[in-house]
Amino acid sequence: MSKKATQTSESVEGTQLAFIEELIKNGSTVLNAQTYEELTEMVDDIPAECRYSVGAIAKSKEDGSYSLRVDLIKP
Amino acid sequence: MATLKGQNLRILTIGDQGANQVIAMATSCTITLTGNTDEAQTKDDVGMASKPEVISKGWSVQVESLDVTDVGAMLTAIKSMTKFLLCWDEVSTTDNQTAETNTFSRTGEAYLADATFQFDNRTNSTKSVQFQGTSALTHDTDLPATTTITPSNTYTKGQFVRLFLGSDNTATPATVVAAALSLSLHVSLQLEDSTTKDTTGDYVVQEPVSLSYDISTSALVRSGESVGSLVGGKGLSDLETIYENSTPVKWQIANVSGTNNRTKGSVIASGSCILSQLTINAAVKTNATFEAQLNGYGEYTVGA
Repeated sequence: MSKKATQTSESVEGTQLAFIEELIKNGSTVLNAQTYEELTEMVDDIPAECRYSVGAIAKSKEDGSYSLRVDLIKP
Repeated sequence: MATLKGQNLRILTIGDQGANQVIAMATSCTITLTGNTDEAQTKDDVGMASKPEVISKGWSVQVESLDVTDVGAMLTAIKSMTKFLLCWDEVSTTDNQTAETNTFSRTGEAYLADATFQFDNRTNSTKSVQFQGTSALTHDTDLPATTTITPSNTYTKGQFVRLFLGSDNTATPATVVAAALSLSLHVSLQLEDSTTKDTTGDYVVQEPVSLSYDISTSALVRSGESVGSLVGGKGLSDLETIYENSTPVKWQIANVSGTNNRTKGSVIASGSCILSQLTINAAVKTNATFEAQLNGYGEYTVGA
């Protein structure tokens, strides 16, 4: 069973869909997660057909959460 | 009349959708307007100084920022020679973001001509970008409405972005530069004055001609231990081997995590490089260090 398949929470799936939709619609999005591992899993979930670039992972001073900007690369 | 404080004069970018946004987390900006004069001195001039005459005008903008989350987007923009629509303006003191269309506000097209990203150990990473104007400046009284950004309070500590180096130009680099202290990625778009007799007005028109980039890093020299087994990376002897081979090697700059901050996460950029300079510093009562200067070879790839 893949790592992603173990995440059965609907909210997690819903969040993933939302950020992928936003990425495709706006050409960029900012991923937010409480842990580094969650963030990298979100990146892994971006469809393989998308060519994208990522920025540097930033950590919040206030709550320790992680964020990462993702931009679609136009063909 | 109050003086204007630096935080209330900002550079904004106007995007395709008309969004007008400040460059995030900027710490300073410099705007330079240049009047180029020609040689007009003759023997007919009386006195010591000739009368200068402005024959063309150019402008540039430099911004320093603590936001490096857009490093991928900036590397893509400079590589694809994207023109930006920039403006500088006084911004509201309530949010330090909303453009107020002051009389000194100006708007114009510019190339992102130079970008440096600095990822130093235990330090907030920095971005320094320079834009070179390629159009006339205008004072727009109807600037697009400013889309304010949410202050992120997010910082990228330099130890979480690392340089991976290969041993040749084929395999994907798997190991970091061990015991590294600093990392700098500098990309430059060379522009050429392309103003001709056809050009209307007196502003210089620029056209991009080539791209170059270099990477520099510094690290501690380790003694009497296997750097590879201790911290999982390339040490001075590996860099010396690369130097001796004089051949390109693969590089990657990536987000890292895990033990010794060496587990590769999302790749920010990658390519090939030549080791052009290796400096070993050994001062008394000080940790010995080495600095490697790597010149980009071919085109870099943004993202994975």
